[in-house]
Amino acid sequence: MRSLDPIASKYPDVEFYIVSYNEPVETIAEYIEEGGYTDVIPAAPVGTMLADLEVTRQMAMMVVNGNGMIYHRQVMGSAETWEPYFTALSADPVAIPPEVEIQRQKDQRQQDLQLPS
Amino acid sequence: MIAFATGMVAILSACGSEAPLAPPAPPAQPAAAQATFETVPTEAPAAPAPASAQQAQPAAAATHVPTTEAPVQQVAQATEAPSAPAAPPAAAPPTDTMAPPATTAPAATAPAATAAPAATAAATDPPPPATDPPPPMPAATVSAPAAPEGIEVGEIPPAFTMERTDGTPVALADLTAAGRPAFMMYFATW
Repeated sequence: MRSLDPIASKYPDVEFYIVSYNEPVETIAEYIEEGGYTDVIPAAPVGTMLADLEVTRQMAMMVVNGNGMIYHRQVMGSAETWEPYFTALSADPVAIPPEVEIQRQKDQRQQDLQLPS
Repeated sequence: MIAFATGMVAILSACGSEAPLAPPAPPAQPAAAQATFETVPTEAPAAPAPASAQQAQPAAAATHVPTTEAPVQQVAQATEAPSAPAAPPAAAPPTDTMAPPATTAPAATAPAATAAPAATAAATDPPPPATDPPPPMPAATVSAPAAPEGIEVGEIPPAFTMERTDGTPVALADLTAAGRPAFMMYFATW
């Protein structure tokens, strides 16, 4: 979060939500407030959001473009490595990832799903 | 008044000492039928069995099966449920379903001459125990469904909604309507 918040401030066209995984959203909000993170928005999943999106663990992230298409998703990782995605979507909000990138991320996700939690 | 109360206490105490706490004994006929059913399948031949079983079973139980099979069905029922001395006609269909179908089906289609040995064999054979494993299910119902493909990059996820701390809902449709990209991290503080 410490590294994500400064990046979020650089991309005002992208909304940054911190979705509570399995605890009250107030806990997340308190954590964000205490850290002084002002450019991320705490939110609670409604209904079966996590299951519908197949989020199986915390520290999973997902980026959707302006059309709702998943532009990137992964588990773990550092915010610095995600910055190119925000740059691309700031330039073109409905950008779609290249086919090569789609295949690479599919392979990466399959590998992530096979790792023990 | 005191005399009346004293009299009532005396009556109640007398009844309490004489009245049995256990329910009344079952009628003699069920007990006799149970004893008959316990000995018929293992020791007695098939021929005497119909006589004793016929007394306990209603006539309606044998109306839907051939005459040569009626003793088999009744003996099987008596062995499987000896505590039901006078089963009502409604209990007869479950008896047919509990009987081994392999024994009943050939006898029903075979001539009477061949059905009699089958009935005798079925009467002497012990009924299948209730703990028999169920027949194997078809593969289509046993096999697990294929794992979901997963929502991959480049796909449109199913509609979802999240809620801000002030109660404002944020749906995927809201984001796409505004044309704004969104980043979501599923976070826990622990």
